[in-house]
Amino acid sequence: MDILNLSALEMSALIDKKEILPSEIVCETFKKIDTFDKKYNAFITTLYDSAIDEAKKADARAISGKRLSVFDGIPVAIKDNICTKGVKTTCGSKMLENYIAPYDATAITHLKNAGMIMAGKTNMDEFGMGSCSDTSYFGAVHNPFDIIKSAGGSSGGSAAAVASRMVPFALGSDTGGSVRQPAAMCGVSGIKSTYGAVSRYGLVAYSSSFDQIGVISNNIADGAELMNIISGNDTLDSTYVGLKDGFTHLLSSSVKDKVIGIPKEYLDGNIDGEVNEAFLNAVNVMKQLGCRVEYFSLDILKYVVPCYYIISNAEASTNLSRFDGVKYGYRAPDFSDINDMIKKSRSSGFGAEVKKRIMLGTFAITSENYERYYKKAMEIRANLSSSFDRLFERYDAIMCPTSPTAARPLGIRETDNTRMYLSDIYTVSANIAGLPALSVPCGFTDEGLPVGVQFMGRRFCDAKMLSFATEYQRVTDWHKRLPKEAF
Amino acid sequence: MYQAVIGVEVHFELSTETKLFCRCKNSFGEDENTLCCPVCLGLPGAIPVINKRAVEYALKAGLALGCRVNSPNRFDRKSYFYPDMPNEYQTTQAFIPICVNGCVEFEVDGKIKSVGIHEIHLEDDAGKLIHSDGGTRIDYNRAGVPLIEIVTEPGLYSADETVAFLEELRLRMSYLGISDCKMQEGSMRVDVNLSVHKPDEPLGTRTEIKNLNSFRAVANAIKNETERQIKVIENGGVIEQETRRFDDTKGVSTVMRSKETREDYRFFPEPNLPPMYIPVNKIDETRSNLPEFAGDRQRRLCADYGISLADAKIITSDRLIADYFEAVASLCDQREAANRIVRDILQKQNETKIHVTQSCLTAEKLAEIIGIFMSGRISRRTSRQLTDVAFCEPIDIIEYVEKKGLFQIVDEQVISAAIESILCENSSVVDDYKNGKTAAFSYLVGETMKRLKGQASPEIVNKMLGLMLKSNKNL
Repeated sequence: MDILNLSALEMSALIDKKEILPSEIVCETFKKIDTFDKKYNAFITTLYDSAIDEAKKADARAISGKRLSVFDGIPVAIKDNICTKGVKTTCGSKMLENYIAPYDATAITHLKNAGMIMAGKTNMDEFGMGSCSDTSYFGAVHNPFDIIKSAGGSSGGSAAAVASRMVPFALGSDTGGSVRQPAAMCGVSGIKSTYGAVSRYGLVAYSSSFDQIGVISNNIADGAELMNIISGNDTLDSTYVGLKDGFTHLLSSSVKDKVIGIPKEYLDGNIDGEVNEAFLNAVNVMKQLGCRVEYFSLDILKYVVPCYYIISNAEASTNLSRFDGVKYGYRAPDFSDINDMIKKSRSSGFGAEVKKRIMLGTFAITSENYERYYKKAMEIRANLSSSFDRLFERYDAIMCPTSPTAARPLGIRETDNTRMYLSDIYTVSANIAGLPALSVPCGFTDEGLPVGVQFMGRRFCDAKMLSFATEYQRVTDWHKRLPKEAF
Repeated sequence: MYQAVIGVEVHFELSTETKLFCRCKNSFGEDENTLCCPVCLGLPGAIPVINKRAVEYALKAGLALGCRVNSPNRFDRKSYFYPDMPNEYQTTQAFIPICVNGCVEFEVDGKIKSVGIHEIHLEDDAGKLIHSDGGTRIDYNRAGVPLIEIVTEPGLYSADETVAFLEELRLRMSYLGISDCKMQEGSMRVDVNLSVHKPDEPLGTRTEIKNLNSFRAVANAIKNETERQIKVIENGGVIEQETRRFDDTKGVSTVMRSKETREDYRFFPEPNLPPMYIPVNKIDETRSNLPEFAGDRQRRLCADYGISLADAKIITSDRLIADYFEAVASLCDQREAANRIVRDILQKQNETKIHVTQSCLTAEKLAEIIGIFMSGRISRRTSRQLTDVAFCEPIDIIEYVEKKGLFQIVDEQVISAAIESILCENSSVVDDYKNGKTAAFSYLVGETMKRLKGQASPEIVNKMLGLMLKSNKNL
């Protein structure tokens, strides 16, 4: 199973040298899934037949030297809220348990055009709502570093699949940290681009103004190349802008004399001691690479979590209205009339966390509450965006922990909702302000659980942000540590 | 002593090629669910992209009604559950509509009145429920069809005024070519808001009346609701703010939704559609390309073509007819052109349900018919018969007239020869005529026509006979 420990770029180089064929990689991928996914529950759907078919075509292209892209023939896993034509797209929900999308998301079209091979659809918190991948109708995802721990969420399946090297990388989606946080929990790299850099067409919406499709990978170089592919042109998402120079053109540039800002607020209070220590070590690494580090204070950060939950739930409450049992998805078996049908279908089709967020969001935009909650949250959002704009006049990157703690035990539901939601405190700012952000592994707790460090950049300067992480990964090897259980 | 105060909300379906937020065809009467895609079906993951043409149409409507244009304007979600609405929210413009603060002048009984336009917003239409014995089915062909909603200020004061305004509004929208404006097909829909008060008192509570499928229903509903509200108040009752459904055949309205059961639509900005900026030059360009509307055109047609105001009104009630008229009138006698269109062509349109611009009777052909009629070579009756045929078949006019032998005898020598022989053969009738019996003249005309097998021009026969009787007193 050695091939699977390689990075995607290394696999690609071997294919180019004709030392290995895509179908060999794909076979190894499915052997590994068969052996280990019973433990991790990373996949909801695996696509063995179509993957083998596609791999054979990729073999032919590789042999004739006509590969479609650098990742032609490389397997990739897809979070199950990204629409894939002819394949189930469940969003981790009973509501869409048997829903087969009739079209491909734009990002999927780009993957297919690049010759990439879909290995399967990964498990996730229902509709992306959660940070432990335990609200899935298909059961919780288990962390490959310790199966009694959560893989983080909501893209926990993608993170676990990459961490256990079933696939070299996977697509996730990040609404409030759902790519970066599970990446941190599972010791892998996660990239969320600037809002608008990747088309959202075909990404089942949780919160449309925050959602971005992102990448979870072994390392930042692989992830950045994959970002280049999925961020290609689109005319179906009005908020799509793209990224003119792509993600990779600054990857090997030096970070010497660059200035990194660190928000003081993030290092007070809630942060776990071991996480804090790992973070400070990462800061030292950046200093050794020649970066200047400054601490700053931003008062408005104390409002980001409520701001995030009001806006995201408000949008979610209407985004999820379409799941009514009328056109597709779960329909309650017994009902008296159309309204009763809609009520019963939604009541039993959605899980508890989803229903809670729909109710919170509905509450926040009633005519009575609009000004009190939604409008205020939008004001905070505007304020936060311009505050970050000013910060990036001074700093080349902002650095902070990805999450206040390492992976939490599964099966112990956080009873205090506020505390659970506060665990997103470091990641939501990037979504609120539309900034690019990433997480890379930066150490382990005594228990052996991975810890992640986050870098944030200026809007549409994703490539520059990535240069900090590639430099970090050039001189560290945290991202090369593999979970023992998976081998 | 009570005064009704009325405002209307008028929806027009825009006749764009494609739907508002996707590229599906916008068409009426196609097979069920054949014009659908992930976006207009509200499938998971599908998101909207605005149709620029629909924005242009809304802009035209706004400028035609004297509105100010909001740039940027924005879309919002209006949430309520209804099974024919794919997303279970409508995408509309609740906070910043594309156009605001307009004013429209219209004519009622020869007097010019005006009403304020509060706003015009763009929104998507829902699908259609089809109820049958086997249950209810949904046709999503209409889902996502672009609509504009034009909301007036409460500035109309009677059924007549309201209908006159609606007629003006329909005329303007059809002149812009942005909507079919067919109430029976639902491409124009009217809701009425009405309250009553005594002129020196504050405005009363209003009710909204829906389900109005014709201007007649609008007028009846207004009269009915005005009377109903006055009666309630006179009896010491209170008007509730509610939505009522009017049944035009029974002439009664019933409560659809009361205030208590009214939904909270939870309006908030549609995050998938960025604010729309409309450049000033786009607004200026659209304004300068607005067509000449019916009122101005009536006045111009009267002045330039010398036709009556009554005919001008009829002709300008359809922009295409007015264009057709001008095309015909530029090629032949203008008054006769008006006359033919108002009397014959519109009737023919009604009979055949074919618009003249879709018929075989091109402006050139009608002008040709009028031309040979005016020259006297065919009779009025023949010319009518020709119009009838040429409307339905692509005939060559001259060839047809020749083949059917429809040309009149206009040769004065031929006619006078015939008259002479008739006068000789009927000397007693000529005597009668000289003795003042006017009927004798008609008899002589008839005999002459008979002799010429009915093909002579009656005008020339009349003229010649008169002259010959006068000059031949000795006969």
